Amino acid sequence: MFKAKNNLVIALFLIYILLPIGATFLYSISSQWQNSILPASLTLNWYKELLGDPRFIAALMRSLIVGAGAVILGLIVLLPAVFTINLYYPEKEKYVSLTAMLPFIFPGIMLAVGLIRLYNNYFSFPPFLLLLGAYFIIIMPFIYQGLQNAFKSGNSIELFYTALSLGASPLQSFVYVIIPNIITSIIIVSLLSLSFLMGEFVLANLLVGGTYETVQVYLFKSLKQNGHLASAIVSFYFLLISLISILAFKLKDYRFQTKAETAAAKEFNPVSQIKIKQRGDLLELP
Amino acid sequence: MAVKQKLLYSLLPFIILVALFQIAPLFSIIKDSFSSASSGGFTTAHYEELWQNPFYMQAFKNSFLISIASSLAALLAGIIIVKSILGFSPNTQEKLLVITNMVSNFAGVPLAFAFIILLGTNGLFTLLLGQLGFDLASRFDLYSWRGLILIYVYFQLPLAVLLLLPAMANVKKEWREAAFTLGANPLLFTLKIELPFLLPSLLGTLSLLLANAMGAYATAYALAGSNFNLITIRIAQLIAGDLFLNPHLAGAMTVILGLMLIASMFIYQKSLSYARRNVHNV
Repeated sequence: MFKAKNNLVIALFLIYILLPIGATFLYSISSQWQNSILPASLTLNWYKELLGDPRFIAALMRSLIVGAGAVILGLIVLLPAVFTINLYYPEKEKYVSLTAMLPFIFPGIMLAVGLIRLYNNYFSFPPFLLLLGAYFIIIMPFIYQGLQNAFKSGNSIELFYTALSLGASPLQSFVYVIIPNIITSIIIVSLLSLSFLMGEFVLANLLVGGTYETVQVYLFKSLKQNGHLASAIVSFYFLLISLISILAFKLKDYRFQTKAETAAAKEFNPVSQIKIKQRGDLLELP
Repeated sequence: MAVKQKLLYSLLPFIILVALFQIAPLFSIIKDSFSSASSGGFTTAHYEELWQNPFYMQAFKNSFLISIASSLAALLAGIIIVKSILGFSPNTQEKLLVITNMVSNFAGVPLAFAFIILLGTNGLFTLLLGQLGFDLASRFDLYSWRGLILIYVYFQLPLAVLLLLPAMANVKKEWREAAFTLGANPLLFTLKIELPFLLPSLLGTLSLLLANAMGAYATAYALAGSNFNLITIRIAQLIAGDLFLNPHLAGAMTVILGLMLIASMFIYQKSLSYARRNVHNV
């Protein structure tokens, strides 16, 4: 009896969360759909049109460039910082952590207000750099927490000292020992941050808008023009971010399987393995 | 040690970027909110203006109400769903979590559009029900508050599930068995054991959901432009709208929104440490 109830609840949940996505996809492959229950005929023309539209391709590239740029900037800035803190100043970790978590408290709209006032009024800042800086800030909590977890769980500090005592220089130890040791975590956190940035609209629209049109801003503008085309964009976007997060999950499984303690971890709690990128998880609710 | 000193410089880029793009903007908002538009001197006039303007007070009230409504709905539904998820095998649990996590990315502009496709004036569901002789449009308007709440619940629900799952997984089967052996019934078990144990986690989840909804902007904006009178929509209009700009008023609103968010994150952190203590005590 309990089983049947569970199945029903989960079925309703899945219908609720998948129906809007499914309907959008169906709409994107229908040639015409008015006043009938099912589409008149199916077509891939909207996708053809979309992928042939230079404006869409340009917007997609812009999103990828500023997204990847922010992720790379985040890694370059945060890797040494997290490493230094863990190695020499562990007692200061809580202050650095609090600073890195600030963007979780203040949403994009607040950041947009401050940045517009500061950099559009007092100084003039190139739009791309402004967006890049803002994107660095909003993914900082993900990257910081991801790296912090990797450092803590991967015995990086011990490995670093071992490398030093074997005669490696600090830089060598960092590049050849530490980085390879946490590379999977770096890739995972980069992928998740990128997929998060691909969905960012508030900052892109308010800070730079038309001067640096990202895929979300492009989507927003095409909503009013052609529903089929817009639904093709939404489907394409959802497919893209889903692939990115599935890839991240696969890597996570792979990482766990390569570790000896996997078996114990799996037995303990299947759920604990799945690290989710939502803010709640990063602050870790037990 | 020389290395230790040298490595301290590696923190510099982090400090500079955070100062430039996080701290300085926050200070400029606070400064704006307390400075006069004409003279630049200190004033609390913008806060007084907000207080006396029914339109802006309404925006605060609306944001608060939609946050409470959607958060409570997502929390209650989340509890039921997580209970069901925990009844499945670890393998299925993992698959459900991956799907939930994927959908949690589906927010903002794409989400608003998907609901328009489904339930808008010419939406698929609206048409489908119309064919069956049911006039949905006369009973439900996606562009109304009820419609917006429905969409808010959509992006709150996956978050609620992802937050509740680890907490509720800590309620061990053995407790239930032990309680039942000692003569408890399911209701008594829920009231006396499960609920007190989970209370901090539930409160924490609720405050995080509240913060999530309070700061949301893209969904409502994509659905109906600036028509919904919400704090975030008003702020955006005052700072980057086409009609009239008032960055000082936007600053004051943003400061109040920020204080509300700090309060809810504070509650979240507090309940988190209570929840941790609970887990350690058993």
